[in-house]
Amino acid sequence: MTQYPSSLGIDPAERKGGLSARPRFDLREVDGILLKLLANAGLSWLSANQQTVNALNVFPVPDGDTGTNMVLTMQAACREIANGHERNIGKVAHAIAQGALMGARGNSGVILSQLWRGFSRSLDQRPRMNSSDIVSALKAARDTAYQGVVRPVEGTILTVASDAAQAADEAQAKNSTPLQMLEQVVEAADRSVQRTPELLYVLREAGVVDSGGKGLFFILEGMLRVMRGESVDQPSTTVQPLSAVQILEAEELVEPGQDYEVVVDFRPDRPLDLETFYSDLQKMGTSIQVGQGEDLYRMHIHVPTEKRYRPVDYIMKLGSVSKVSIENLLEQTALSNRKQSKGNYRLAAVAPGQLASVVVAPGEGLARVFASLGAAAIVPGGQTMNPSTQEILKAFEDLPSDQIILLPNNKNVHMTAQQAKELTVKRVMIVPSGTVPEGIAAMLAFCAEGRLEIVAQAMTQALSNVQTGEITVATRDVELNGLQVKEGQMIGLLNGELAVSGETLQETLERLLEHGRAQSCELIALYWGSDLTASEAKTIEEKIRSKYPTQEIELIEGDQPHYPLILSLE
Amino acid sequence: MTTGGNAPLGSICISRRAIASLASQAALQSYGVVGMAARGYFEGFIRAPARDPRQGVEIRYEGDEICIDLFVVLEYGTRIATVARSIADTVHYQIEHTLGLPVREVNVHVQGLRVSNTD
Repeated sequence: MTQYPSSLGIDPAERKGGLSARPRFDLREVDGILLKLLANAGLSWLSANQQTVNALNVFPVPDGDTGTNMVLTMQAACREIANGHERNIGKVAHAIAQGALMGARGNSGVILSQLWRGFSRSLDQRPRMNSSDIVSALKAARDTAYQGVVRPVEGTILTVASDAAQAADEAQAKNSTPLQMLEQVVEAADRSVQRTPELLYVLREAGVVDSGGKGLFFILEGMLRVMRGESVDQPSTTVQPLSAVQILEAEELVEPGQDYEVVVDFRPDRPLDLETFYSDLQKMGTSIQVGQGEDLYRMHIHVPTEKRYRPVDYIMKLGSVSKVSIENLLEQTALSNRKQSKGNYRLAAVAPGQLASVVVAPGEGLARVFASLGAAAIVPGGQTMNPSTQEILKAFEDLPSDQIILLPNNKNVHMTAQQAKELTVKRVMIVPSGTVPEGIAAMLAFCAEGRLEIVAQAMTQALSNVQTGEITVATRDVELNGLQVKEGQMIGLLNGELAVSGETLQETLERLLEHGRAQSCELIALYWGSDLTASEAKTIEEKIRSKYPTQEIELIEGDQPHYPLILSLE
Repeated sequence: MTTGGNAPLGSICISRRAIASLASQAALQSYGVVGMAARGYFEGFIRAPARDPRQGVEIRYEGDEICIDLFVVLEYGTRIATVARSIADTVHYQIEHTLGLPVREVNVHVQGLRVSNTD
């Protein structure tokens, strides 16, 4: 790149800007040789950021990844001009367009080739291009690209191309040099990319920006970088919006030796020189991410134990630190592993000819309880997440037995259960359990060796041995059974009927127990939900134990959503 | 007409015309397509003036699966093979995604090219 012929008029004054080996190209005119350099820079920069673009692809068609497709298209374009030293920009542009056309891969590649086609057409036979030629070339690129489709979809690469042309037009009004113009264009393309989710619903839904648009941005930015004399080989170390810093995901990638995660929020005193900032941080650790909010930066890094205070000290020198968090990753990973392992329950093995039971259960804890009682398959589901017929059918089909007892454990699941029963060739009996405690009572009567009808009958009878209490939060104001309930209050249901309400969980639980005549029961089982912690559940248990000293109290981790407590009274 | 599975409260019927509209919309939004083509003088005569969504779209069933034939006009100067491939992908995806019915094949017939500008 340093071999750029001086005859093209690079002002020596411009070159002194950097003692770096790379020249800046702040020229009045661009010729074929510079265009070749720019196209190659666009390709290099796009390749360096290829994975970033690929990661944005939300359209799950076998079209392949947008980043890869655009890189392949640009490669074909650059191959076409690889061996030439043509000075005439029109000819070079035509060769690029021809190469892009022949090598266009994927939808984004086709659009990219159309952009080049329009661009080249406006430069027909011109030896060089000045600022106003760039404007018309970018406009022609946009027009040609839009011509290629009946219903252009906005929020895509087309929008970005259009905004880029618009920015060039505005820069032209200020009598900009090509470099200044490109700066404006890149900035506009960046804004345009950020705007794509506002224009296109699928992007908003997936929480990403458009991949093709981002690819075009990288091509343009690559061109700008080479004109400024910056490198185009290292992947982008640009600052992402604060919300995009994926600290949780980074947590999963703990490299050995990088035990501590340090997150620092800070306000730099001077504008941050990102390249130095990154390279300094790289000396300390890995998984570096920097996010920017309103003049606040957030830095995230993984460092070895002995270097855990280094990033903080370093950043203190750059500005004022507002928040520091240091966490031991190994400890956290161990914790989260422990949390996951509680999901491992062992389902009952079924021999052919035996009865198998399929149970619908909300929450890991309840699944484990059912598994310990001999359930052969668990279908996750319950009050607000009814399982599909498909899921239940699949559970039937995966079992080696052709005689199955199904416990739906929720009234809302009964219909689905019935459908699944009708659709399978296996013999299925449904024990109509309406709640989890009923299901557990029924499961106690299950016997894998018995005859299907007899076992199902025994289980159905067992249903009535138990009363079910459920405590949850009212989702709306309601007046029912003489009770007035406000949205947000705790409510207690006894056997599916609204029975009591209260302000706190404890209060509601006590009222519900009274209502259910817990005094005359032998056993009170409390299944605590995912909204509670173990210690909260323990406190509740102790209070109930002191209130009902003659009853046996069991506390079981149910892990069900939405219901802080499910209780069974026997 | 086809039934879209057994819903609990009855069956769902989706007409070929409806499927054709979806396919045609998806095709017209894919890059490189500048129009749907009539397959003959007769069809052009009766459908084009009414902007019938079935223009250039043919829907068949093979068992429970849908086969779609699309007759399109593409922009001159695009890479035809890539554009056609991408139309097939888009239509295939859109139909399966919106209807939940399996699509066996999407055949793209390029009936013509529109030359907007000559290079």
